[in-house]
Amino acid sequence: METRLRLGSRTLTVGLVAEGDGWAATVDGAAHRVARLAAGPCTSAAGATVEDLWLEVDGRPCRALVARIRDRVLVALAGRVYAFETGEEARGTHGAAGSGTVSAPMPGKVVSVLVAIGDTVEVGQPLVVLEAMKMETTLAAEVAGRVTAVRAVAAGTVAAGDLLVEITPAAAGS
Amino acid sequence: MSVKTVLIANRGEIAVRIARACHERGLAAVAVYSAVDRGAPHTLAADGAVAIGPAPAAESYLNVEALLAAARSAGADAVHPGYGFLAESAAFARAVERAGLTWIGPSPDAVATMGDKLAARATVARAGVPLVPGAGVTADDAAPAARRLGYPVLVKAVAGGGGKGMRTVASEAELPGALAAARREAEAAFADGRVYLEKLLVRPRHVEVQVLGDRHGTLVHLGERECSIQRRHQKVVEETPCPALTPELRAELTAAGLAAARAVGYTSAGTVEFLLDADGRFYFLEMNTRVQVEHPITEWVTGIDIVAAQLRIAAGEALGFTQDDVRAAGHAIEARLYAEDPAAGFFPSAGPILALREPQGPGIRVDSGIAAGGTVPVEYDPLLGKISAWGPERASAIARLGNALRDTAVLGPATNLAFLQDVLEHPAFRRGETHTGFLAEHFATWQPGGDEATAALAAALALARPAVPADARGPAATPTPWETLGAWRLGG
Repeated sequence: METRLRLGSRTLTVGLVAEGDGWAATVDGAAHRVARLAAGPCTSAAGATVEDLWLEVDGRPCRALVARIRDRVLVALAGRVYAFETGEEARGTHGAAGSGTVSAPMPGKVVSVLVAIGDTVEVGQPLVVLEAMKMETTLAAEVAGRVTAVRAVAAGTVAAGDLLVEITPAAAGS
Repeated sequence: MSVKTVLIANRGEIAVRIARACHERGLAAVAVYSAVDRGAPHTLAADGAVAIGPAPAAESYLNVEALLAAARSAGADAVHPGYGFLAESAAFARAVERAGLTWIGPSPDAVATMGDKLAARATVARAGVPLVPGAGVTADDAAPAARRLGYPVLVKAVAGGGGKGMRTVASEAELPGALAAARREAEAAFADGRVYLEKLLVRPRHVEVQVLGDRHGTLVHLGERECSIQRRHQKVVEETPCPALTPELRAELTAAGLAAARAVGYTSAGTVEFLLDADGRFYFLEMNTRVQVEHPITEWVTGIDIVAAQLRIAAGEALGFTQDDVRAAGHAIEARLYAEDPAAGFFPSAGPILALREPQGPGIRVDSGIAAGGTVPVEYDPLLGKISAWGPERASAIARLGNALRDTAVLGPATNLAFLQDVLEHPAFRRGETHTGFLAEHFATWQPGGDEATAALAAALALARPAVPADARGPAATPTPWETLGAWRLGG
């Protein structure tokens, strides 16, 4: 069985072949030996399936807390959380080099809009100041190019994912 | 004045902390909650809970009329404001007293004086406490004043606190934008848009003195806390004692803290904040007239329960001990667990807590305001809780806290958990070489890293098992905004 998991801008491919009391596994081609020491109960919270996994990876015991919700798998392991994505998105490569589409990362209020349609912007140039969870945050351009749409309105409220500014990237080398 | 039932005008971990302190003194605790906090942990910790309004803080936790009505309906005879929200509102303190209730905090006049940063500076300067060079500012005189102080300067809200309405300005070109942003933030957070300038010290430590005063003339300090590990002017890691203080400097600093508190006739628990430069000079920053987020580390080393002391002082009791009775033992350190993504400019995160594991063990303390199945609302500060540790010396306290953080798991919103562990591991932190620019200097390009291969194996094995069927989760609910969020907001 092969599973593709996206982590940030990268995709990890995990192979699992049952063997003995565990699996012969690969992660991006690197071989690992995995055994499940105990199967914790599956529970659910807020629409997620949650389980405690006791594993032995290459002879080393470890405990992972795993929550699955829709096409996401969150793994807590040794004080760190890994947010994997499965499904269609995991096969793509979008988002790797920055996008010209700037949308609201969470609900909030638009404090000010710093660009207008037709403006030329550089990478890192501030576009919109948003207030969310009591703090002002500046959203900056991830790509250089020309502003082709401005949907953010000062003093307006936005929902997560709302389009704020669209930038058409400048052609490479221009 | 007798206190039997305390209304806690707050939410989250501090409201849980106060409810427990009430119970330990045989008092009843009444929680309040906004529409998004129904059933939240702080309401479960109390003996009763009263709805005070819709989600926005202005209509609930900042709504004086609703809070007083809740106190009346619950039969409360006292109000504890916690920190944040209305904790440093003299108007709220006065309204509480006018309603015939006991305000669990310093006198409204002390709150008002220290809450006005310019009045505070003038008051403590008269008491001989050194100040950071600064200037009062209006729109017209900002540029000349900043030139006089010399860049870099700091724009601060007169009514400020918690880093809100504060901006660093490196050059005159940045000044108008910084003033405008600071005024907006201050207006939104404190309904007071006045700002002033302060000279920005280079690589100072943030060191603060905890004081405790009763209404019978006893005022003591409980030593200092170093809180230099900050992002966006908000503390992330705090410890006591400060690794940079000599006994002589500690004596001077705590004496200055007491002088500042005495200058306003301070009672209850309060904190006098100072900046300490590399040459051992310290300057008054501000006084926080409330219980501090990081009070647990002082409780660790002194054995004095600061919230219990607030309750006793408000009831008119004498402190019952003097400065000579205060002894600090060992070292304590606290990490603040925030719902935010340190790899994305500390952008706040929100949404349901899918799974939660909290640490335990000797010398570990958890002050938590969250529970699995609960939600981190977008309306409030992203502080989820605090994990603190005590050890006989600094290195063992840090190691204990590191273990505790490694044993912690929060699945749902992104948190700074991995970031906190990396801060504790940093060689400069281990050497005690901290200053308020520490994170900007060492962690500006931080990435989470870790053992991705093992995590991927765990994910793949979990996916190989069937999920809990949807009908086991109860009636289908309409998707919350959280569930329609972009994928990248989750986890981290």
